[in-house]
Amino acid sequence: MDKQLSETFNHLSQQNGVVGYSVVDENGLCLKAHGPGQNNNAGFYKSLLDKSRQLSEGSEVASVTIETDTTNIFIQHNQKITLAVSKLP
Amino acid sequence: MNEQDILKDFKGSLIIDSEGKILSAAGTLQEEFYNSQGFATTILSMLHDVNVITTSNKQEFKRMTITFSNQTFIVTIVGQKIFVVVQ
Repeated sequence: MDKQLSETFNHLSQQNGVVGYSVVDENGLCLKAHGPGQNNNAGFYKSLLDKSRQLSEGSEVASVTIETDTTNIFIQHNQKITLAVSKLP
Repeated sequence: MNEQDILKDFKGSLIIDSEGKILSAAGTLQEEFYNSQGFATTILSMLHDVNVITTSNKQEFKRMTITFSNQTFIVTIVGQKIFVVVQ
């Protein structure tokens, strides 16, 4: 399974425009990261999704996109994992 | 074009100040759940997390989009005001 996971993340990092990603566990700790700052921001990516529950009457977890002048960051939750992908606009 | 002219095309909107106080609410965001201190405080708290993320990468924040299965919030900051609109 590790090999399959590595191949998936290699494939992700080779996608056109992808400059980084961060895989975060349910405690907000970084499992895997690629790109500048992705390791340090892991907890904050998860925090954003945890807080988004409070914006939904059904406590649904949102997908969050942050747009900046240099990159777009897509953050999504899947079971116990939070994935953040940084991509050029 | 003033703020209200820009916001009128959205299903709902909120304007929040930098301390989390709601300055105005319109459309679907006038409903009690959204037009509340808790909602505004959560938006502000999320923006603080965004600030850490963008500052660490020396990036300038433009917009945050929060997507649920049935609606999407778009959050931006202009001056000292936070604008939340719903699509």
